[in-house]
Amino acid sequence: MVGRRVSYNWWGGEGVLCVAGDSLGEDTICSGGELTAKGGQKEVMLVVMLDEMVGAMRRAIFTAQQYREQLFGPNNISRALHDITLNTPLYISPFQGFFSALDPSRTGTHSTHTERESKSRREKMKTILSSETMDLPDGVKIKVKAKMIEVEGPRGKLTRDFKHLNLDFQLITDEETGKRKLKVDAWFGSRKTTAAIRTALSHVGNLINGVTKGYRYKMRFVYAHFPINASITNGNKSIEIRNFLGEKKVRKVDMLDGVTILRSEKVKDELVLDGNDIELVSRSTALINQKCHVKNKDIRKFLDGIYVSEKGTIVEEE
Amino acid sequence: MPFKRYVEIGRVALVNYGKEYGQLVVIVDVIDQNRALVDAPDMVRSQMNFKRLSLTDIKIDIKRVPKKKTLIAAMEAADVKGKWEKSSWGRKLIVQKRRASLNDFDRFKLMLAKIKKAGVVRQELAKLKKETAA
Repeated sequence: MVGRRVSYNWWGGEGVLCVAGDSLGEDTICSGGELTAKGGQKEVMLVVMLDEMVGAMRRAIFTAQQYREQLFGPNNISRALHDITLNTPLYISPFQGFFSALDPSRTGTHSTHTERESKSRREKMKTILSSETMDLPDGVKIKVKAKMIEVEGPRGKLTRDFKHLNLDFQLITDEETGKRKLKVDAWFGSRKTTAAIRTALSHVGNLINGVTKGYRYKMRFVYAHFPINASITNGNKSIEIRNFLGEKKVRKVDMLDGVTILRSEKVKDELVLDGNDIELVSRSTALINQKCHVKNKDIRKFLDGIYVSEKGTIVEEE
Repeated sequence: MPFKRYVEIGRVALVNYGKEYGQLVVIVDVIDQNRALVDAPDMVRSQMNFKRLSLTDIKIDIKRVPKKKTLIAAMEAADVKGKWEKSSWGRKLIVQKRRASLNDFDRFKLMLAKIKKAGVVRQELAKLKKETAA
């Protein structure tokens, strides 16, 4: 049974902070709580009425008084009796040996909510605002309109639309330094939307990188007996692979938009793929790699293929 | 796209649902994620769901949960009523109220005024047309 109702010891005892689902040590005993024995480790499922503290405690984090004050403000006992979601840290008291938590005479108010209800309650926590900013380098022009980001730089122009995310993008100028920044906000977001903020910024970072430095992915041919014969056709936009594992089948791979491929001159059996958009470049290398999978054989032994050896940029910086 | 009107202590809001429909209230405290403590000079301080409030541009300078006297003084100092009646939103509401409260004679007078205005506009238009045609 997973519980919702929780109350606090408001005459200032000391105890251990834990969250539902925590495992306690062997001899930490919860007063009045419901514990399940899971392979010898007790797991906190429910914490109910707290009684007076007895005995020395082991891992006190802070007193109930401070905890309550931190959550609700001082002198606000009535707030302490509100429902708290299971995400809020709960407070249990360790009893050194006096009462077993599983003793029915000591259990307080039982919760009668089903597990499914409590699970959906657990998923409802919404953070009012989470935001993150990112510095924009000079030399790139960025336009943000309606979740479409357009980046322009020395190597060209890239756009990406983030309409599938529920985030606010805005360009702001930092107060002291005067530099421009990209700010991403998530209002009342769940855990997943808050996580999406940083990924959106990473994607924009990749756009900026692509437009200033470009992306260069290098692949090497690996073969044990049959030399892989590759020829670049169609003006650096597609590649034909012959004699892979001695097969008669000719594999042709077209590069995606904006990606060029060439055979490296100095290095034997190397392909170099260049482009501005990291998604397209990496997807092109994946297409080449996947065309050269070995079928019906032990792949630990037949290691032939074309593998990505290096992921870097076109413009090298010393 | 960023938000400009925030829920904060001192934000003036318009009630858009319920018994106090159409009143201007001041957000005086935030109770939890969905509710605010709200106060106005002519009502008892009470809680309201944010969904019942439409935020305005006006904000006054008060501390959390002020006494009624301080609230009224702050509202006078910021001239909430004046700003509201000058703002386009406030003016539109006043016009809507006036229109809803017309009686039949008023509507008759309104009709005559509209016809007269349309006549004057058409005369000017005819003059301009004659000039361009000539």
